[in-house]
Amino acid sequence: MTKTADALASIEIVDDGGTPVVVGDAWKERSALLVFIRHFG
Amino acid sequence: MRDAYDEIAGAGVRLIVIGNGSPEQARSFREDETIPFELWVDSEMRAYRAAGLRRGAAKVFSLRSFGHLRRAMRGGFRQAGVQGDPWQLGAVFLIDPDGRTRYEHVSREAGDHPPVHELMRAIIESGAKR
Repeated sequence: MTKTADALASIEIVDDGGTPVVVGDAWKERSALLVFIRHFG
Repeated sequence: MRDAYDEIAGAGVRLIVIGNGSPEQARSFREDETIPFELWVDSEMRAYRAAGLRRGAAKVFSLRSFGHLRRAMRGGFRQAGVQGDPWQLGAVFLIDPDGRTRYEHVSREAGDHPPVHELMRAIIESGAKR
């Protein structure tokens, strides 16, 4: 795996329902586009 | 005219938006809006840090951030002339089932978003056709 994907794969966060999700599961079956949002002001 | 989400979904690519903040904020956004993407919450910025994003890359997301992104996607990302930062993007990563990063873009400043044609081409090339 590439460095970023490798580092992200084991990270566990939550979905909007509060259910834990493992980031690496996002691309387990098909490609995943991860969009990290930023906010100004 | 298909919007960007249709093209992404049509390529069989899973779209996940990750924001800082709380699950409650994300849930209230989902209740108010119909959003076509999955919404994950990284309250402690662990994923942000793992992705190498600086602290300034993410502040608490707001309904406005997602509204901007949704409008940008509905418009097929054709808001290049709009004042401000309609995308509110921190970074974008396209990762395939082999764990290969097929595309990445980290925004350095407001309005710094990936060239859409490059991103869509990477999506279509890496996605599984249905």
